[in-house]
Formats: sequence, structure tokens, C-alpha cells
Amino acid sequence: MDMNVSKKKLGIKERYAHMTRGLGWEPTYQPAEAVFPYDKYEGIKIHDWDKWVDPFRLTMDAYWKYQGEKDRKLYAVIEAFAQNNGHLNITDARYLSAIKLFWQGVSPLENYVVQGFARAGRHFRGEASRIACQMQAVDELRHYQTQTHSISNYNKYYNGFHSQRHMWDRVWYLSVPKSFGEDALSAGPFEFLIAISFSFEYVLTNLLFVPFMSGAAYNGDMSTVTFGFSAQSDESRHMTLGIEAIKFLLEQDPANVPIVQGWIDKWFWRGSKVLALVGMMMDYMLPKRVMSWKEAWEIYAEENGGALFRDLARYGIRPPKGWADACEAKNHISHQIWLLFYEYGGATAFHTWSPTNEELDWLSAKYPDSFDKYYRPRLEFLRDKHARGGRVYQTTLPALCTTCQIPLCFTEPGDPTKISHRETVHEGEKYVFCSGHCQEIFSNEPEKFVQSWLPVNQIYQGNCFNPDVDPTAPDFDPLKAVLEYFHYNLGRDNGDFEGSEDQQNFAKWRGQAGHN
Amino acid sequence: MSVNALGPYEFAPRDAVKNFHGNILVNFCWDRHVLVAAPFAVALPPGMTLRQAITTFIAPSIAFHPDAAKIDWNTVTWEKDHLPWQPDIDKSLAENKVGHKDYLVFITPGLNGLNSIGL
Amino acid sequence: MSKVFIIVQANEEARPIVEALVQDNPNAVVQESPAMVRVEAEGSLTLNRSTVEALTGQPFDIQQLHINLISISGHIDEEDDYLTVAWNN
Repeated sequence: MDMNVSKKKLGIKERYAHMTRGLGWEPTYQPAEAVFPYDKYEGIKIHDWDKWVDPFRLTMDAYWKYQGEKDRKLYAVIEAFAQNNGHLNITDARYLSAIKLFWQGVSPLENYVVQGFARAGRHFRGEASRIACQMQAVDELRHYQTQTHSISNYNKYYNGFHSQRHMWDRVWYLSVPKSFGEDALSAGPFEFLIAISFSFEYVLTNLLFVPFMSGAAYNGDMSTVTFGFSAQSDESRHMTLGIEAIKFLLEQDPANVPIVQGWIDKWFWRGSKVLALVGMMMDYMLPKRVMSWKEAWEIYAEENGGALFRDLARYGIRPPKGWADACEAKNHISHQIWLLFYEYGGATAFHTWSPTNEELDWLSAKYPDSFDKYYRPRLEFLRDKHARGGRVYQTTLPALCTTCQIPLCFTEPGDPTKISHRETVHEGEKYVFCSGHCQEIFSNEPEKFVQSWLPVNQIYQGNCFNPDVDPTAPDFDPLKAVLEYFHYNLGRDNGDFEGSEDQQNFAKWRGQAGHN
Repeated sequence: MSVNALGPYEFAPRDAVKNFHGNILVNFCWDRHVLVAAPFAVALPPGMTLRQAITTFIAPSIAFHPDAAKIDWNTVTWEKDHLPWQPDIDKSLAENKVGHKDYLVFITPGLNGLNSIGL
Repeated sequence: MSKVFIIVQANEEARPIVEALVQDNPNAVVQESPAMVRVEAEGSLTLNRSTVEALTGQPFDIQQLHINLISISGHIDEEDDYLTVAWNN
């Protein structure tokens, strides 16, 4: 006879305990040290992996359920966007430069993070941490895929979206996020965790996905805002894991504190440099702007990051070394990066342009301490020059920082007309940097950064031409040959927005939207 | 400090001078003229004079700046890797002891950039 | 004290979450931006399951928050009946 047993539903904490504890085993064929070779050499000491707790207590069953629901919502929007010519509802085709840069430079980074978390999940010993890493690896794969699916619709109509995988490994400005990602991927699993989960996801990712994606909505890009916020709902879990991971490491052993502090110093600075690209996207590439880069920095880095570091002070953690300089730079970096890309606009696979008067006025209002004095005169000079037929296209290659790989366009803190540069001689070889912080990152791990694949230096070494070109030919144009090696469609992907095919097509198609 | 690694971790520098086909890489920055958005890195034969390097590569690259035409290269003052430096611009880079990846700053007194504030 | 926040998408599923946060956290401030709503408060914010359920007349699982969540700041304490974010300073 069957008995009716009333089963009490498990609470969230019990469920989490059942789904994340006691799932591992002691290896017997091989010693544990051989199975987990990478979780000791960084010097991090873990005494009790069971102290790792996901504050959301998400278990695999709930994970699949909610992720499935998110994807169904997302794909319904993407489909509707494609079917209804949603691309014609954006404010202006200039906006697409931001999406091109996102697609070229951010989406492949998601793919790197997949690899990093898959590896971290393999090499940590604690089951709960392995599950958390597995979920994050799947999340990041989802981000790469949903971005691919969303943005492929733009690729049907506009230039610059076509060769992402090829460009990622070659194009000069993409070496900035690529080298950032490879630095993290080639670090030990704990450094990777602090680099990505904590320094990037917790301290900085809000700057990328919150105000920028809200900006996408403001500019009528339903597709991007939907994948952006869908990704960000995962990111908010990752951020929570980031703060949990750092507390876990700090509480496990006092010897972990100085190691973790060093990683925070390094990765906060590296992340803030990569995000200079996002600053430019927010301040210059969105025809309608939700907030300035400076305002976003104040809310999400200074206020939120400030609260975080006040909280971590009890463990002996201080704010990152580059904090004050990165905060000072909020008045400058978006403008300096935009001017750099404008002048090198012949070599970018997105368009640049001169801001309108209304846009200049907006920037003046948002940057009262810097814009009118240091940046408006430059932008107006270049605009006037273009109007007189002399659009500036710089063709002499820029000096790159050995660490962050950004051209040396940043100025000394507190001195906005003095280009900042540093040099180090290591084992008889000279290295150039954009800042004391990038110099220090090099000095801590010189053997790593002597390998930097600096695009400009590679071009001069002759490593960036297609195999069939003849550099000795009388009509050889090295810059053109390099851009062909990048797979640019010259005259369509690059150059000023004014007169571009994207500009013309958008105007034509939008005109057709209202009548036959 | 050095890289924390499980095994030997040694790699040759990727930008050693031997990889540049007889050239050296030289960085040029025009002091306090940030309208030129970034300093230049140029690959040059060490036997080339500094004047030839300027005339061939640097002068055309900064020509869009309204101060550029007014530069008297004979009165320009220089820094090399942050230190004052007095080259003979009619001598070769090698004779002036310009090394691979040196960072040269040229200062043009009296030319103060857009609005005379270093732009 | 430091500020905590919960940001959700501006949609119908998230509306009762915002309303519940406002109802249960008297010091909560709501800021609306394109496509998103940010609720912030000094010190802490609590989302109660019962409040959401009373507003919608439907069962609500605290973890449903994930579907429309954009960002969250502070230490999280999640139980079946509530979710709290707070800073320890």
C-alpha cells in the first residue's frame, strides 16, 4: 500500500546546500595536487572551500529556468526588430559606430571570459565555486551568442560589422581589449577571478551596460538595449559573485590580502583604460545622450566603488592605487580618445565625425571644468578644416603603451596639455608607457609584457601585410596594405561619416519608409 | 618582481631591434601641442639624419597644426626619455645616440598651440 | 552610510517590484531613465515577496527578480520571503 508522505518544500538555503555541497570526491587514481595543479602557485591559501556561498543561492535547476525565460523574451524582441525594419528607427546612422565598436571590441571579450571561467571552474577545488564558474561561463557564451544574433541584423545593412573574428586578432585599436582579455586568461585562476569578477564586473561593468544600454534605448535601438539588459541581468549575478569571491579570499587567510590588493591595483587600472573607449561611445557616438561619461563615472565608480572600498577596509584593503588618477581623468579621457580616433579616422572600421553645435553645447554643459578650454577649440578647429576641404586623416602611426596598448593620447593628471609618457629599461630593452600605473604593471611582471603584440610595432616589423603583397613594388602603399590585411572595405568601413555609404543608405531607406 | 609561474617563464622581447629590418623605432612628441592627438612612432634607419627624419616623417604629420609652419627646427629644444638633450640635427640618429624606442620630445618656445594654451 | 541600489527594466513585470520597494522602504528614491528604473536608498533596500504578491495577486518567487534585474549594489541576503541589499558601513 502506498503511503502519502507530505514532502515539505525545501527553503532556498537548504536547496542551495543540497545542490552545491557534497558533490565532489577525493581522487584516488591520481593525487589531488595532480588533478588541481593551478590553485596553489599564486600563493592564495584556501582552508575551507565550503565557505564559498553564492548570495543569490542560484542552483542549476533555477538557473536554466530563468535563463530560458530571459532568452525567450530576448529572441521575441530580436525577431520583431528584424521583421519591422527596426534599424530604421534609430535616431541616426552615426549611432551605429558605437555598436560597431561594441561588436568589434566588446563581444569577443565575452568569448574570452567564457574560456576563462570554464578554466577557473575546472581548476578550483570547491564544488560551489566550480558551479558558479560554470554558470558564468554559460552566461558569457550566451552573451556572445545573443550579441551575434542581435547585431547580425545590422550587418545586413551597414558597413564595419563583417569581419569581427578576423579583425579582433589584427586591428590596431582592438588590441586594447584583446590584450586585456589575454592578460587575464593567461593569469592564474584566482587572479582571473579578481580581474574579471571583481575589478571588471563589480567595479566597472555598470559603466558599460547600464548608462550605455539606457542610451541605446534612448536612441531607438530596441535590439541592443534588449540584449544589453538581458546580459546585464546576468552581470548583476556576476557582480554579486565578484564581491563574494573577494570576501571569501580575504577571509580565508590574512596572507591573501596583499596578493589580492596587488591584483585590484592592476586590474582596476587596466579596466579603467579599456573603458575609455566606452566613455567615447557615450559622449560622442550617441546622438541622444542619457548621461555623460563623467556623470556615469561619478555614480557607478566613485559612489558605488567608494561604498565598496569603505566596506572592504575592514579586511585591510584600500582603494586601488590608480583610483585618484582615474577619477581625475573623468574630465578628459572620453575627449582625448575621441580626438585620437577622429584623427586616425582613416584607419578605423567605424565612422567618426565632427559634433554638431548642439552636441558641443551639451558637452560644454556636462564638462564645465575641461571642455570649453581644452577640447572644444580642437573639435572646432578640425571641423572648420574639414569644411574647407582639409579633413585631417593622420597617417603616421602613433606610439603605443606597452601595457594597455592605447596610443599615448592621455595627459598628465592635472596638466591637460602635457602628454603623459614613461620609459623603463628591462634587460637592455626599452619599453614605453602611457602612465606610471601602466609602467608599474609592467615592472611587476616584465616577462609577461615583453611579449606584448603591439600593432604599430608589428606593422613596422612587416607582420601585418597579406602574404601576396610586394613591399618593394614602386606603388606600394603600406597603410593601404595594412588596412587590407585588416579586411577593411576601404572607403566604406572607414573615414568620416559625412558622405559615407552608411549615411546615404540610412537616409534613403528611411525616406522610403514613409512612402512607396 | 617577476611573473608568478609554475615553470620556467622566459620569452624573448617581441620588439627587439633585430626584428625591424635594420631600422630603429623612434618616438616623437611635440610638446604642448595636443591638437596632434598622440606622439608618433616611426621606424628609421640609424644612418638617417635627425633633420631627414623630421622632414620626411614628422613635419608632414603635424602640418595641419597652425603652429607647424612656424617651427624653426634649428632653435627647437629637445628632451630624450625625460632628460634635456642637445642633438645636432644634421648628424645621423646613430651619431646623436638615438636608440631603439627612445622617446624624443621637441619643444618649440614661442609657439604655444591653439589659443596659446598648449593645444 | 553608503547608498545601495536595485535597477530593473522598465516593464510591466518589474513594475510591482519597484512599487513593492517603494512601499517597504520609506527612504527609497526612484529614478527613471530610458528603459530602466533605478531604486536607491541609504544603507539598505528590502524586497518582500508578500508585498509583490499583494500588489499582483499572483505567487512571486524572489528569484524571479533575475529576469528583469539590470544591476544591484551591496551585500545580498536572500531568503524565500525577502531579498535585502546592504552595505556594512
